[in-house]
Amino acid sequence: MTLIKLITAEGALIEVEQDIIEQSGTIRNILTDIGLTDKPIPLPNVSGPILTKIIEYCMHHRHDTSRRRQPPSQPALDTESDCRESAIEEAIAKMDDFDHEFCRIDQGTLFDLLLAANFLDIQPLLDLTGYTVANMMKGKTVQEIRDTFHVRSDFTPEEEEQVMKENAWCEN
Amino acid sequence: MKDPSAYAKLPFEVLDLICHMSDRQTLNSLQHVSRVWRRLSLPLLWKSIDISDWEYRASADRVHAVYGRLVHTMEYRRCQRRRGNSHSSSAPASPQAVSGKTKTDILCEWLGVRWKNVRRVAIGAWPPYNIRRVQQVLATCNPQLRVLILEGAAAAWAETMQRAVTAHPHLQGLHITEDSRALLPPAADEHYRRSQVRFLFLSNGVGASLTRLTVPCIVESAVQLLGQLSDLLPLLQTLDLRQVDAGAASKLSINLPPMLRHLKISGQYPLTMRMFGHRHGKGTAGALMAASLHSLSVTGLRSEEAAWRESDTFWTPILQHKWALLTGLVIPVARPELSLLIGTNCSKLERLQFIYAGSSINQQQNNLWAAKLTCLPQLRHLDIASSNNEYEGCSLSSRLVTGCIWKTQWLHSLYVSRLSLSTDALSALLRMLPYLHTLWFTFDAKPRANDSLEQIGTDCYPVAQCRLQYLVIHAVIARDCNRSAAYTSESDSEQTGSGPTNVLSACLAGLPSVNKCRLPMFTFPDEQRHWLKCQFPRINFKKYAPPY
Repeated sequence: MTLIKLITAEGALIEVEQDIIEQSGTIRNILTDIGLTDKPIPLPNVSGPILTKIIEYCMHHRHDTSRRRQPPSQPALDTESDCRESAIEEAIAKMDDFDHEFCRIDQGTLFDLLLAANFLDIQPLLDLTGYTVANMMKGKTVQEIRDTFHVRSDFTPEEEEQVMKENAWCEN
Repeated sequence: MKDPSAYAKLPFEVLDLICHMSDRQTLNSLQHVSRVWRRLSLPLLWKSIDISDWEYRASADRVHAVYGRLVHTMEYRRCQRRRGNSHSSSAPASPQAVSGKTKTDILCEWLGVRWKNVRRVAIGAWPPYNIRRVQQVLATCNPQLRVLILEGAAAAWAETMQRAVTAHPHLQGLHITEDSRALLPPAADEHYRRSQVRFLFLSNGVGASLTRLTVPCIVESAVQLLGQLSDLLPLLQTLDLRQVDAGAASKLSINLPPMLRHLKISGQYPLTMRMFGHRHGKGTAGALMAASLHSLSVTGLRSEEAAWRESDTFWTPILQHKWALLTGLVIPVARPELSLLIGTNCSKLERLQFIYAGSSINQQQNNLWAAKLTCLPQLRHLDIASSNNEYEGCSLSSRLVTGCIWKTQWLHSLYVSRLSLSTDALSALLRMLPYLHTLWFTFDAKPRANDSLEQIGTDCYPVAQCRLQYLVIHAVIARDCNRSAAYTSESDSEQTGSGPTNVLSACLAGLPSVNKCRLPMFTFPDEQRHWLKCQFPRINFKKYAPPY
């Protein structure tokens, strides 16, 4: 059992078994490039509590290779787009009770997990957190969505008008 | 936690993923949020259009002009559905009534516009269209069409469509999907016609590139074509056969395609090896299945005799092989002789389910056969569903936990409704299976002679770090063993402080990760659940009605 050392954003050292953390494409690539090393790998974008949470997720799915999927390739041609949709559907279908419980967390932590999963390239966790955020937005108004994501409208008045015009006939 | 403004800068690919996971209504809102959200949501929002929702609000030309390039899939499945919240009326008007056009007019009008990127058309076939007109439009106006999906195709419609389809220069795939019964006319020979139509197309070679096929029912007319399946659909990876009836099954000889990875069969007729033929170059069908299948699922009610016959003529012969790739297995009825074969030859199994473990299992041998399953090293999900009838169902004692060493550490869900576990047996199980997340079991709430509630709590203490989050208590065995477990009342024993609620409370105190718990509604009436809720605010207690 090989332990990999990771340094969190706060500078804390966390050791984790290689086969657990290799669910992260980023770490896997680093280890492939530099080989097994005693030197700690810095993760400046991931805080200690978030890394702990990610390790909990990876431990639970340690031997579950079936839910690992390749990240989407660019650009999205028709067939690739279809493949991606079915891969996403499959990923959603495979989410289990643990996954749903895992994401019962506050919004800030959820967004941090989403960003960390993206940085660490853990596709199933990215799917899970993305799906949770998508569910969170269900039934929200445009302004509520803007508030959730802290987004300001960058439409010019002309664009706003254009959007309304394009949709006027189908939105009553 | 990051500064919240950081969330405004989520990477593009993350926003794209969120859009892909969102429903239509959310996408509709997202297009108004900002430029980047609009850019991501519009193609998804307009990738698929349902003509039945739109045709009377705007003309095809108008939609085509604004969003035409984005549309990949066009659907016209039913004529009485309306979209979103914009109309809350409970009795929507039919599009025909509103627009004054027939269904054929609407379909031809939409198909007639040159939709640059439409590659899929999905059409519900009832009530019927003017077939000849649709055929002409479909064959001439949609050169980009690659996939045609027909739902509930009636025989006359399908035969004409077949000519259009074969004349089409680029069509690669044809799916005749499972019908929505609501769209079909009541007809005695409905199943017959649907299956005949389906295989009419397959025999024409149209579906040669299909990788996934669902056949909603198999009747005699389909038997011969299933015999040529590996020639007709050489790339097929998933085959889902439903409603295998007795007449067809007795003559069935399925020629399994070489790429097949997932096989699912449902129906009440017991399987035999003869149904899978023996014409494979690489050996028997059993060997072929064992070498290539990743999942095998057989479901459907079985009589005692049928289950016994199926075990002898299908399960035992195929499970003699080594299944190198099998990760998922569903068996309709548990039989003692199968568990040894599964334990020995299916070492990669991650999900194992017995739909029914009932009277066919010798009650004296329950633990013996179930114990064989504990040697599966990769098992993550085990489900042995059982009747709640205490004289019929498969009761398992806690010896399965205390007398066996589970080779898998990774089990995260264990659904064995009639596995009875006391507090200390539960502790032993959780120590052995540290990743267990969900447990469905029978709670043995009889305190031992010298136990205090504090002692019961202490039993659970060593596993305080376990990951168990969800408990489903199927039934409770209480002090009064002469009464039916599911109906055991605790009012008498509660007086003494040793009733099931108190025992459960002491047990839950030692399981800090549990946050959801379902309790049998008769043993734990509302007031008991309320009391438990007050004791454990972290746990969401819900009623559970055991299946009968």
